[in-house]
Amino acid sequence: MLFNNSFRTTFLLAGFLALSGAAICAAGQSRPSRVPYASIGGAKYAGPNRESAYDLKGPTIRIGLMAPLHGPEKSAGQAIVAAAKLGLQNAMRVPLPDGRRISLTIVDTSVPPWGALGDEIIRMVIQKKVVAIVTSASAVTAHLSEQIGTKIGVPVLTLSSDPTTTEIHLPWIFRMGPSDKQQARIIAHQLYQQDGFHRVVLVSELNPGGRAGATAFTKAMRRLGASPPVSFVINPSKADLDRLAKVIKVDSPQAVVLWTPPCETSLVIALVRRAAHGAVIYLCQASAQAGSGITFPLSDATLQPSPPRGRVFVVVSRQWGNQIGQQFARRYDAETGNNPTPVAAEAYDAVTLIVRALRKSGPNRARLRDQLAAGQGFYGVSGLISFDNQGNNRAVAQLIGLRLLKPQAKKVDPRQVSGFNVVSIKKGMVLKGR
Amino acid sequence: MRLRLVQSLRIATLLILAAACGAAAPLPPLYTQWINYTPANGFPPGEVYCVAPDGNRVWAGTANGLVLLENGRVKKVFTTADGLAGDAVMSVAVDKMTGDVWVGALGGLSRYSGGRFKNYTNLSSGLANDLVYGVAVQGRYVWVATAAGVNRFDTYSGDWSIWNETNAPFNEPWCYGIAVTKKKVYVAAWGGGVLVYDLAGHYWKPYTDPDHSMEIVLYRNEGLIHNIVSGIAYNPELHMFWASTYFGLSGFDGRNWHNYLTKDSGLASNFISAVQSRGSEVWACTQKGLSEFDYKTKIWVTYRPVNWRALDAAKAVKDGPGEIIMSWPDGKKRKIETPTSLAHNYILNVAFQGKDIWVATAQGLSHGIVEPQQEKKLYDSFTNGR
Repeated sequence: MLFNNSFRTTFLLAGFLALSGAAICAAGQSRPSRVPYASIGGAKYAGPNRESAYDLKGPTIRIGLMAPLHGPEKSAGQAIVAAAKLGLQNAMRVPLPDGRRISLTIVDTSVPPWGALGDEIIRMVIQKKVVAIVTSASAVTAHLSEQIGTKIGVPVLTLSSDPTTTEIHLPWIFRMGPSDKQQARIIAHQLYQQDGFHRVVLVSELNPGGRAGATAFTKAMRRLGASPPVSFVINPSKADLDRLAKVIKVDSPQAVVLWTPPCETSLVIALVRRAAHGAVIYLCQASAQAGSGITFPLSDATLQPSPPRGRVFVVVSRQWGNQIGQQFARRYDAETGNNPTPVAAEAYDAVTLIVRALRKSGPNRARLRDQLAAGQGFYGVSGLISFDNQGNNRAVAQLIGLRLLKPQAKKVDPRQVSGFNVVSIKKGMVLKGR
Repeated sequence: MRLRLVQSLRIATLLILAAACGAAAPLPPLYTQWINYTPANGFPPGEVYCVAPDGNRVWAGTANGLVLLENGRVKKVFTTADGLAGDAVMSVAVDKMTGDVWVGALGGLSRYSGGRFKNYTNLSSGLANDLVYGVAVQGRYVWVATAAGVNRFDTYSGDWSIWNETNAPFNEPWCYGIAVTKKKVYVAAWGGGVLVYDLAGHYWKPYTDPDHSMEIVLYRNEGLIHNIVSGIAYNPELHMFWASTYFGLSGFDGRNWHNYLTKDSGLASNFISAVQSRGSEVWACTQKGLSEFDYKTKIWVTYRPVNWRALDAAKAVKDGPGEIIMSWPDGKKRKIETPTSLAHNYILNVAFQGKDIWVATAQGLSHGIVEPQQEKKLYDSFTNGR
């Protein structure tokens, strides 16, 4: 009997342990793996056309440059063109070994993106046979160039910060500056972890660039455990600043983050100054282009790492303001009468990089791509340029505090300008504290 | 004794059933003979983006015009000088009812009819954009995938319809490919995933990357592998659509997703420019060869030149032998050589003509032919090898 009881107890205990073990194993199995099924790897080009038969013919090698030269973005476009021209001038101080010249084929991107812009890119790639394309900071321009560049096989160096351009596995695209994701993380870190701000308003434009930036910033905040900001999406084709002003006044934000084109940046900054005077303004690089009313300091001495409230911060490369950057700034100032913006400096570096690579590759698009991808990085006027295997610039970025151009900021009366319209308002939860 | 008899009968029945199942899923065809069209035999140089067989004729869209092959010879190369909307031809579709040829080019849409081209551009018609990446004929309608949305052109009335981010759930209006059936239209959108239009219900249904993260895929068969879709095909026999991305291959059967990467399949590369499908076959046009997946047997077959790495590095030794790599579901692989090969390993598209296939590569057009005796010999050698 005793034996029977003992046996039964042992048997029950063993059964219980076995069941427990099975349950633990089952739980372990049903728990989703933390390792993703796939993540983006190196984008390699296994295609053809490296042979000399595919070298571009003619005494002049052309580099395509896409920039807005009319309309509200005109200043930004002119700054890009001026910087690119200076870059070409400087890079060609030593002529190419075969005596060929290099010229810029400039395409005005102020035409409607869904109409003439596609035709312009085709003309540039197929008829003008550019060896590479440098795009403006516009996400639409970058994506259109990327689509055609992938089909035809043309390297694209983009000034756009849209991260999705390099999250594709394409071997043809290279980004000169920090992506939206990098910029958003830097801004979010400063806002939430350094400054402790919890009333934040995000203003972005109704286009793929604005959408990508807003998404990146919202994700960056979630990553830090913060709630999403109050989000405004503005339509540049309509006029209604009053609604935006009203909402900013009601929310009384501590910080306002802008992912807007430069022409709207000055208007929104003026509006924020009126409606929420003490709010700190954070700009992505594209928002701080020429025409935004922002001026960039010429030397390190004028950089203010932590300016007082009510000031403006912009994301730049950690090497911004280095010695060659200052030399470039002086030349740019002598040429245009202005200080260069980070995006203009990246245009200068893009042209410099292409010419450097061309000296090794010769006038062949596929070999030029290989050279750009193999480059070990160099210190440009915008900072370090070093591509990872997806074409992203690995350089570390930082925030700097800047001053506004007084004449522009004071003269703008937002209510008198038919600039944009609030088309949607998304209100997230306001953080009570960290 | 009786028990043994019953058991024997059961085993015999199972064997017969297994044999029947085996017979129902034949092995994939093996293409052992390749005829290439390159500048050596009058074909224009550079990329071939698309191909469309049409009886004894074959139309090929290249970087340097539209090529007409007739009875295996280059008959004519049409360019903008002949009235084509653009020299870089991305897509071709033949209207089986009228014999008209619709050409999607970087420069607009062209209709070749009665020996003449009529062009449709953004300025001269309702075409959404002059960057035409895809074209497909569906009865009286011609469907066009452009960089600014999808167009439908009614060839009877001349009316144009347009769908883009303003009237359909397009995340982005950039459309890279299109496929049609009698009931539905399938669109490959750059950044917008796959969009399916229901003709009876007049509505669009989007299929996008479920984890909303472009650079990673969390779970294998969770959904579409990537939002940037380079090509689309519908297979009426499998009732599935297949989407190619630069990140891998995705198939959807109406209920479940079936995703494939190089790491878990016989796919030659995750960089896929186009996909086509017929019967149980799915053809992925990758940058490292042409991969065929047999959905029923789960066997993968990849075709490419033996010297493909040399082709990639521009040390080209063309017209060399080819290689066939077979991957079985158990993970075993076998490689064999064929005397002829595809023109290049960088594959841009594929089309079917009876049992034959036509392959658009980055350096020429290839015609793949099955040689039954050679095929049997190879399969025998594979079986012996296994």
